[in-house]
Amino acid sequence: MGKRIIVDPITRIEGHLRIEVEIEGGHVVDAWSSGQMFRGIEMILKGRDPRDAHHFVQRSCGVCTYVHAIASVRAVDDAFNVKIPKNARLIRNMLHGAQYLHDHLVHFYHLHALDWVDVVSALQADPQKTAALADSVSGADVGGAVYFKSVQQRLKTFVESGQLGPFANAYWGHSAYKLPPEANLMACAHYIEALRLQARTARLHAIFGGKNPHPQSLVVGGVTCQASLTADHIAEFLYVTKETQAFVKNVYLPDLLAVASFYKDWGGIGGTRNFLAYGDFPLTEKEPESLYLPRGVIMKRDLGKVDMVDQAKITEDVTRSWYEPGSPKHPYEGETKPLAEDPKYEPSKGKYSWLKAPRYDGASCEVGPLARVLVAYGKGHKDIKPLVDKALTQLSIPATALFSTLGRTAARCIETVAIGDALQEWTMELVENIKSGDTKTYEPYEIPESGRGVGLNDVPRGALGHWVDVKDKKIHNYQYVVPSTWNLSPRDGKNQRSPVEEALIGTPIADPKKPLEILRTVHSFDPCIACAVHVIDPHSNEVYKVNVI
Amino acid sequence: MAHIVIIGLGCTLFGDQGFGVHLVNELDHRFVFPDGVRLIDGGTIGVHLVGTLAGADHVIAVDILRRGGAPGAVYRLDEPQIIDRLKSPDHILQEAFIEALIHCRLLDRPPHVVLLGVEPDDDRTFGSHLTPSLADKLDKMIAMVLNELDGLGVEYERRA
Repeated sequence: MGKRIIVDPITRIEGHLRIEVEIEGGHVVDAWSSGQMFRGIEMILKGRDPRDAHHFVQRSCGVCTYVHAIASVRAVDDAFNVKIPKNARLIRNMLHGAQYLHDHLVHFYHLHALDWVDVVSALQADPQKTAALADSVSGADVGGAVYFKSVQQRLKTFVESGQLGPFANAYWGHSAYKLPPEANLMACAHYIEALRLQARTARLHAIFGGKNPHPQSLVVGGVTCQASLTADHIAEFLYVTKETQAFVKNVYLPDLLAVASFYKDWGGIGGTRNFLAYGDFPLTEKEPESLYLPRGVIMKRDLGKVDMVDQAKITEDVTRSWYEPGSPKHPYEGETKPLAEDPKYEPSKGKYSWLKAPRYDGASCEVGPLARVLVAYGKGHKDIKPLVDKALTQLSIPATALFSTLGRTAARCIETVAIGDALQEWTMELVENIKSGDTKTYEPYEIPESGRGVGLNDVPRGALGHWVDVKDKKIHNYQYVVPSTWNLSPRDGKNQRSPVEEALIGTPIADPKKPLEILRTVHSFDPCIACAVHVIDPHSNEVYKVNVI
Repeated sequence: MAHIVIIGLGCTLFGDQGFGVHLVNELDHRFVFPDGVRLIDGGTIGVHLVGTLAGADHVIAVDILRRGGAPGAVYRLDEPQIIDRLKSPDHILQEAFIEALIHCRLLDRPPHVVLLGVEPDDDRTFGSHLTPSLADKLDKMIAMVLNELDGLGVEYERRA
């Protein structure tokens, strides 16, 4: 048996994820992913008014509160058979698009960049040369030797103060860091600029959401922000969207390509085989036909064959999860029955996670930006295909390199570019619709005695489904299957690995005591298992405690 | 005038953990504050709070704190003590809040921060209500927040 490494917890900001890998000859040969917290939110929804569910579910996650709210109102819209008005569809899309811009920017710069960028090395950079580098690759509207020198000084003060916080967890000086000091300094400067910008981008939600965090304007039947449909509010939304999109195109995309050019080997590491996208952003009443990000499933990396998703083929398996035994169930029939006894962590053959194992047609599937971009690429999407092709050409890598950690990180940026442009078009469509005299934002409805509804969404982290079963006008059963559960689940009854368990196999490990390479692939999935699971032990005294067994 | 953010942290689905959010809602029900003061339900948001915190001059945060006192004991932490909680945060959202504060320091003008806390009784059982020992402390904590505002020279009115 090879050497075992456990990284626990592994997420940079939210949630508790434990990853155990076995290494032999400097490479990962097997991996186990374990969610260390239990989520019981479904249990407290039983017996409640379905119209209230979204207020509860949006508190199940520490980053993406909006996405659970929209998934929930869509599921209840479906159960009540209510068709929302055009303005409501547009505003829901605009709020959701704003969530993507904000979330992906924050992920690239503040949750993932430090796996690739060495802050301490940036202190050694020559500001003059950094300015020249930045001018050649980036269209940032700040720069110059004086600017980079001041950023370097700020970083130095920060590092010397010993209060590194989010910077304290990385492995500075690790041999797997490949950027020269100047590229590190440029990336750190843009880390700070992105921080400045995202503070403004976050305001987008408040314009039509009433407040941020936890926007309040979504309701079953539409949205409540009719009074906000003024020229001033729409202009502000458009202004901040354009400001953010300018950064995405002039800085984020160039930074991604610049950093990727030093890590092309990661185009062959961290890949999976099957990809599932529910798609999102309905452009008309017709779903899934009109979804801007298309719905589809790709099996065994066959980009030539994108099948339509049949949600009836989704099941959750609990064979290796800490729940009472039962056969794989569709979410409508899903149960949340935690084991009565204390869970034992038995990755080799027993149960080892609080996450259930979602499967599509019995197969484990990756969800998220890479799945969405591959489905769109396979279907020849008019905006996304050219963006992918251009990135591949610029990096001189083949399309097969997309099935990787590099591909996953690039896909996140590529879809941000596409959504940011489309978001401006949707905003103008809203303006035109209001000008035509249509100000309706809500469709009244009768609550049926009973009914079932599903909300299939694709949110920044991936495919998110909410299922609600209504009886006597109350919630009888509520289940949701979240992106991190698809990506980070344990094995299932057929002993199939989850996407992250599969992706880690073959990863080179230069130093088992500092498994930076594992973090790269795990973080590329943008794990947020605060929403996949929930708190059992809120005490966590150390981050990145790495045990070598 | 100064830009002040009063923010409640924690998840309202875990009983006492929602104390800060309940408190901010109470403040909103009882008082009218001038334009420069914003009341924020920080709720379950994490590092994305940077957007809310970065532009403020002063942040008054309210949360539960486990410091060994009896349930309902109240505390006032200044900035170094807040940062120090990162070693043993009371819940994951508090950890994310502190990381957001540290991110603010990378920007030009980080806010001045105090954290007002209360010792929880039960913050693990599912439920949307406070335990009696914490519900009893809402008035005390409101007085503490108002005391901070007084120190900053902020004038406010009680709602009729």
